[in-house]
Amino acid sequence: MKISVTQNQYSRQNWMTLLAKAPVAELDRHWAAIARPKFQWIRRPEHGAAMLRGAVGRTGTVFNLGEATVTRCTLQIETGEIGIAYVLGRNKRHAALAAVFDGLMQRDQATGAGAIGPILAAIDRCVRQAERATRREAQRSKVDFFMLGQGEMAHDG
Amino acid sequence: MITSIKGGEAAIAASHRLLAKRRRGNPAIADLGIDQIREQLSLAVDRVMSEGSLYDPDLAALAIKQSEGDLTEAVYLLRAFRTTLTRFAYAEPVDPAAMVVRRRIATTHKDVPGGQLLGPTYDYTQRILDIALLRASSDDLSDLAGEGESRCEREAEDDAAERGPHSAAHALTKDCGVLALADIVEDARPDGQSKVADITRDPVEFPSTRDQRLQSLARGDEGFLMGLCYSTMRGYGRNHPFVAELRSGDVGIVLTIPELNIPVGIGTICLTECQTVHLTTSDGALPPRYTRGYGLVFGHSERKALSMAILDRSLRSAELDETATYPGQDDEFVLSHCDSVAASGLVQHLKLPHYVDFQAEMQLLGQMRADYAERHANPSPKPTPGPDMITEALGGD
Repeated sequence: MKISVTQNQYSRQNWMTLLAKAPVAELDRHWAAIARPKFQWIRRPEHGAAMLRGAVGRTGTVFNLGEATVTRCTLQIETGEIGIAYVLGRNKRHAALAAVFDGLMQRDQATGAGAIGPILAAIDRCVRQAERATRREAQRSKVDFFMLGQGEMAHDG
Repeated sequence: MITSIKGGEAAIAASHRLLAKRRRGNPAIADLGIDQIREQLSLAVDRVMSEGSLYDPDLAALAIKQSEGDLTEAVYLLRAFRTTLTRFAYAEPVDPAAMVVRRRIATTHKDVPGGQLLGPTYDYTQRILDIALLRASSDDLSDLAGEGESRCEREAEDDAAERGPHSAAHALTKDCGVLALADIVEDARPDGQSKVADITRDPVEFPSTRDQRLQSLARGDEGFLMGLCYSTMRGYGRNHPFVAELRSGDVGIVLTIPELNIPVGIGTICLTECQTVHLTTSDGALPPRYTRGYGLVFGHSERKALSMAILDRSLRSAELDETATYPGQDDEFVLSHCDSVAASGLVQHLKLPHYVDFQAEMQLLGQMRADYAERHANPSPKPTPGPDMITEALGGD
């Protein structure tokens, strides 16, 4: 599966999700490679929590499962765009980088600059690759139990 | 009676120093890093997150280190920390159908879409202590690392061509096995709840609702839940289910960002989900069918997810017209006692000074013994026996 995505194919929802999923090392790598914008904090990174939820059988009664730590921040880059980040965990650097990239991505969309889109695509590939590696590992332990006396007793072991 | 005790500062400070010393152990042995606990004692970390009701592997690992591996104490530390956090929002319900599955089994059918994926499990180990893990040389992977890495690289390259994991991943998003037999399995439809109960904000009142029960069970003590679940299976409650689906892996968390009012993914967490089906015939309004139990816990913990699912079902007696006879069917009994922080608090408070209570009880005992001695010295003609005197009479005194 070839991934070739331009920034136009990402909605803000998509790219914020990706930035939150991205390994911090990956964000750092891209941060080191771009022209860094000036920005002002609107809300410095702060720790808090979100209550997570589940649903019986995935679609039934909704219940509160327990909380998870979350770090959030808001900033304004020099060209005026407001970057926002909510990320699981307590890594302030992750939240800050995600918010900067959120602001930059909005600027790119407005100006059609297209500098940040490829970064998002690279992060997307990185996240998908990690997920595929996990899936493949699990597939390696796929088991095919067989039953003695197949035929009449083919329904249960 | 509560009385305050003063003093003891110096002794308590000395006790804290002893605690720190014991925690460090032999200084000749390397200090244990939080990252080592997080990575190498991950199931302990999962348990602490689950019962501490806060998903944060670093903090759970810290709690384990601070408590010297006393997991109940670690749960308490994490639960206490939890109360200091501002709650930004409530997330959308997680979707285990979209999980990046690390392990998945369905026990009702041999062939299920997506397959039986054993993943990492102790189920098929021989439970023999692995002496090899004792040897320092077991840390030496120099002859293994090269091969492993090149295999990973090869994987990355042939990702593009491979369709297998993709179709398997798709199959894992569907209900399978008995859960796919919609005509004989209870629906999992929304029950029209207007708001989701939150036991961290409003205490549970009995009879409880299913959302209150599931939230309580999700953070309940694994040992207590397993013991009760065991009791319902052994005859103290008719409850012997099939595991229709048991999976663990990574699930995305989606939060509606208050500033933007759009649902956004904020990261992934590891969860274990268990769906059980229970043959149910008691509900006269409906034909005999399978009803569901549901378990969902932080991290990888199948014992707890199973226990939670089976107790979820056994606690639905009232809803399904069953007579609640046993402890595992009694929501007040289960929910009031499943929390390890509450249970540990009451049990362990007995170690605190009770000097005044004890003096009061000693006075009472002295009075009772004086009365007893007097009665035995001159048997009373008074016809006003208390219950204890009746017992004495029956005892042939």
